[in-house]
Amino acid sequence: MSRSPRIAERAGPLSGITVVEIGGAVAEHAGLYLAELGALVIKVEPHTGARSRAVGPYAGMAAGQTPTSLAFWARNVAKLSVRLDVNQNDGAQVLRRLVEQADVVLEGRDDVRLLSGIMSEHVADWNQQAIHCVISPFGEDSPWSDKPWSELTALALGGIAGVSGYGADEILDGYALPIAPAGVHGASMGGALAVIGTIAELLERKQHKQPRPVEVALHDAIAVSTEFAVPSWSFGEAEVDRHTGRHATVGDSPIWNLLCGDGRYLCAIPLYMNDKRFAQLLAWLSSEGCQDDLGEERFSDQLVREAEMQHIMEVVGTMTARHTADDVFHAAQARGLAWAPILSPDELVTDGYLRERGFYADLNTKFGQVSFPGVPYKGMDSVYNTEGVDLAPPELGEDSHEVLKWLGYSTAEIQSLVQVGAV
Amino acid sequence: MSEMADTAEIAQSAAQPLKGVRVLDFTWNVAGPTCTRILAALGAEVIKVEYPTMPDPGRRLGGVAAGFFANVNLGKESITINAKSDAGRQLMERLIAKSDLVVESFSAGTLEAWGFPYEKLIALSPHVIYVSVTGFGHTTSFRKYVTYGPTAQAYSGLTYSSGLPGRPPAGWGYSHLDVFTGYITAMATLAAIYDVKYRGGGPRRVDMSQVENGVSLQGDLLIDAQVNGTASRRGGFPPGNRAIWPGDTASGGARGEIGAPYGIYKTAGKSKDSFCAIAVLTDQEWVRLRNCLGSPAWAMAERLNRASGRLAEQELLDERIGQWTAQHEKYELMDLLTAAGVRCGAVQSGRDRLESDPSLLARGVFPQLDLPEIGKFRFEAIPVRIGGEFVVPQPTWPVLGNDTGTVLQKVLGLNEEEIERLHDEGVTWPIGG
Repeated sequence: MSRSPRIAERAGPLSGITVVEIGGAVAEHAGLYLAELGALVIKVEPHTGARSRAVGPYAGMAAGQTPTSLAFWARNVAKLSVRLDVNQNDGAQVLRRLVEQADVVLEGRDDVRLLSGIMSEHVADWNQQAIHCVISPFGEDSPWSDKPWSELTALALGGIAGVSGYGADEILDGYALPIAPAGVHGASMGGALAVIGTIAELLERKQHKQPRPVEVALHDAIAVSTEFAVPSWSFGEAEVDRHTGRHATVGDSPIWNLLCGDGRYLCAIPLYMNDKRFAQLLAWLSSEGCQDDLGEERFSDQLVREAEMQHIMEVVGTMTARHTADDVFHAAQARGLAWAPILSPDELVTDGYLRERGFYADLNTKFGQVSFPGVPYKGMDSVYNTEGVDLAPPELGEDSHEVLKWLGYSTAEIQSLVQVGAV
Repeated sequence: MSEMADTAEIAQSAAQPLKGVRVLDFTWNVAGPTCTRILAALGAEVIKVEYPTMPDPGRRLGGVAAGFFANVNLGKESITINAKSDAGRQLMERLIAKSDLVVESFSAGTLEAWGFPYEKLIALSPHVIYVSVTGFGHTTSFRKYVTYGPTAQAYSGLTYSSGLPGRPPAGWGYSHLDVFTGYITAMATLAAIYDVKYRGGGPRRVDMSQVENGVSLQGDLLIDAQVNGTASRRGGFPPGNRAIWPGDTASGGARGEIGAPYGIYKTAGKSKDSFCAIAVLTDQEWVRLRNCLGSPAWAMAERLNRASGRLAEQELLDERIGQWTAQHEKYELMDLLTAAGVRCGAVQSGRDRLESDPSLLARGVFPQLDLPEIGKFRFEAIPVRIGGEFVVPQPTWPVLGNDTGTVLQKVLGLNEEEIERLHDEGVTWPIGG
């Protein structure tokens, strides 16, 4: 695949900022967010490729083809890839020249420590004006700094698995199982926080100050991000209990995911059920002949409703069972109820709302046009507003030549670097 | 904890990149306030605007969650203005004219109904950055749809992707899309500030959608569905705590890592969190785990030496490993396995993180702050270190209406008499309230 030059002005608020990204999953997320905001992100990969290239889901699995990781695609849109052996001197010199040109260096130590400290020791020497953002699983000064980790163990230690999953109403093999939601949720959170720190320092740097290092530990990031679990203990010495498919709370809570007639579940969240909303709900149930005893006077008292919410939700369930999740969704929203269908990921590809919003970035790839998730905001430019630059995720080392030329290497020098295996 | 340590911990965070930036904050609940909490911690002057007859619903949280509101709103000031009165709207106009950012999380159309569409904000403050946070954004036919975190999680596929195949969705035990949207909104807002200050002025608009933010977390699955035609509603998905459900040939995983054994196992102990996660990602790690298990005969089977064999035998592996973990306490297992080079982590509760976690303790992730009307408690730092220090918000929180006079004086230059009159006329506090 041959592309037009990719070192080009991109749209977005961080247009003009150059980022060198090296390391694992969290830095990869941080790099994605910076790229989406318009920064030029150059990803430095080892000869074997970033770890995410060796993780499924894959495409192109037919015989004779090299499988392409779609997990890599999901987090490397709009980036450039340079394939570099930084453990040999010539490769490290190229890295140095890259760092010299960078505004930001993202160094992920959340993966294998490929660099044996090279980056940390030298970034400040190589480029005093670069913001050096170091991302690690537990923090360099943590007593757990040497512990091996994974996305799964991070969600367990950080508390997400403890509050999510199945509760007393869904006992399996004798216990209520915690669930770590599928996805890359630890690394995405760590990446977002790393970018917050990085942009904060980009602002500091403009105020004539020498940038200070930014550091994010994935475990810290997750541990403060689970809403009530920590404050419940800190302020009330109470632990929240896990409940199936809904918030963990101190003590029991009413169900809120209801099965609909089409086999889909619907999130019928019963929070903030004030008099007005309850009257709307009751009128709706009555029109369907499903109101059961909810018309009784005592339910006009909010405290009674809250005490009997489980019963109310069971009554609502007899109504939702007669309709599709989508029909209940729109009918509920017309009545001011904040309910929504529990959609599956594949259903989102053709979803009408997302298409109307213009959410997806439709990019041409070797597998045809693919809709990549865009940015979750409108009104401000992002890299997806760039004209004339191919933003599809890079093949391994695809941009090495263009980047080296941009760094000032001659064609002969590049050839010799390739010969010694540095590039 | 000694007084010295307290003082050191509550020392104003050194990072003040937003010093001099004024934020008029109309956000409620969690998503918006999480964003403005970060802005406040980075040095912005964040003025939270409410009115006592309709305050942030977060203030109504009772019982053990009472400190939660203070935690999410650390470092902000509170001003009360009646937006439904002409005098109140005039006062807001004057404040907007002196503000760099307006941030809100009302239903779409509310600020317009008060008389403050984006165009009006620009007229008042030409370089304004207007940030809104809603479930579905402001631009589509869904703009009037109301959401809470769980609603957005349902619509965006996040709820569906959490759980065991064939069981009801397990979803999330908290509003991930409130917390995570708070982070992403803060990130986009910081970028907008950079853009306005250093790349050519404002105004700027950031119209955040929680649903889209959730969908952006499902790239692997969305692209898989398009390129390979993989259906999400199938027997082996979602994969429980596994990377891939046994026999699920359609799946290539969704966690950014693949391995077996891979799961959350019951440990000794009676707590709801007596579990630990173990993830074996390589053949070498399997050999290490096998050694920890004492190399039992079943584990020595040749077919288990390769990932494909282990993925096929997950039922057997999980049953046997679960029998072993059930005899050990979770932290003991974590120490034993991680020392041997096996990825393992205890499932931790809120209390565990506050009291038993040596990493969070050593790093000071939960600094103790002494807050007016609340007292001394451990709060949550912004988990970012700049120049070696955590970004810690100021030890203040917006007691309703407490800063009205101060803000009107310092921002608009009103004198005591004028401030008192606004109070008495019901503009900044209900008459007789």
